[in-house]
Amino acid sequence: MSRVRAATSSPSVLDVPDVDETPFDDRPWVVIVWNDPINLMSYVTFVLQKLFGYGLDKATALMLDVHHKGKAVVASGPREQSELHVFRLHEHGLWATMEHDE
Amino acid sequence: MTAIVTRSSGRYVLHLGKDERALLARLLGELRELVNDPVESSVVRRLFPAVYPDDAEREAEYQRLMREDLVSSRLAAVDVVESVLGGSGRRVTLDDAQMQAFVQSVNAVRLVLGTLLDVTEDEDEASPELASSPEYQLYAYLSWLLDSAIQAMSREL
Repeated sequence: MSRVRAATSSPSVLDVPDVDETPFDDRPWVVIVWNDPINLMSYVTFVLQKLFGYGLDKATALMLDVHHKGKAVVASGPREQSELHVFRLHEHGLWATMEHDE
Repeated sequence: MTAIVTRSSGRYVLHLGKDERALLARLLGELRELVNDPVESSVVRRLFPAVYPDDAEREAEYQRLMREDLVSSRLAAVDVVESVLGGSGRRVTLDDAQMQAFVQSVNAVRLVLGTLLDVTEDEDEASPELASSPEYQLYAYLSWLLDSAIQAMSREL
């Protein structure tokens, strides 16, 4: 899939003045939990329930995604909030990273 | 096997013998040393994973701000567990926060052992040599202990 990017240069000098600034990147971030051979399935499910308030069914489905597909997006949102989520996942020993939502 | 973790009067109870408590205390001491004085290794990378594996600049910034907090958090959990295991009775009782520290610390020790042993996902796939090694049996014991703790805690969610 491709994404349409906003034009970076104006076709006309009569347009709004060219302002030299980095466009604010407001794409949300996603928190990803990766599969690893050590963490117990019961433990991963428990941590997802506890940290994100997910019910048993949702936490189990995410854990199974991690287990079978190798990873799962467990949360998304602004950068600082996502970093906090990753920190707490690391405190619990889960293998978590974050990246821009694509 | 009988449950090693039960619930009584709003607290968790670990049924651990003296030897088991001594074993856990030794492992926690080793974990503390590793966390306090980390030498770059697969084990340390597993305890402190990258947050932005594809963005060195953001990763450096994150680690600069947060690494010490993760170190402190792990050490604080180890301190809590060591203090509750230090008693003399066979029953070790823990409140919710102490139990949380217990599972985080036991799991951290499992991460260390499992990384050193290079375990595979399926216990049945462990080679006979690996499965019979003392380190692997310790790993399997901690897995069982953690799972028992999680079962007890999941009932309280």
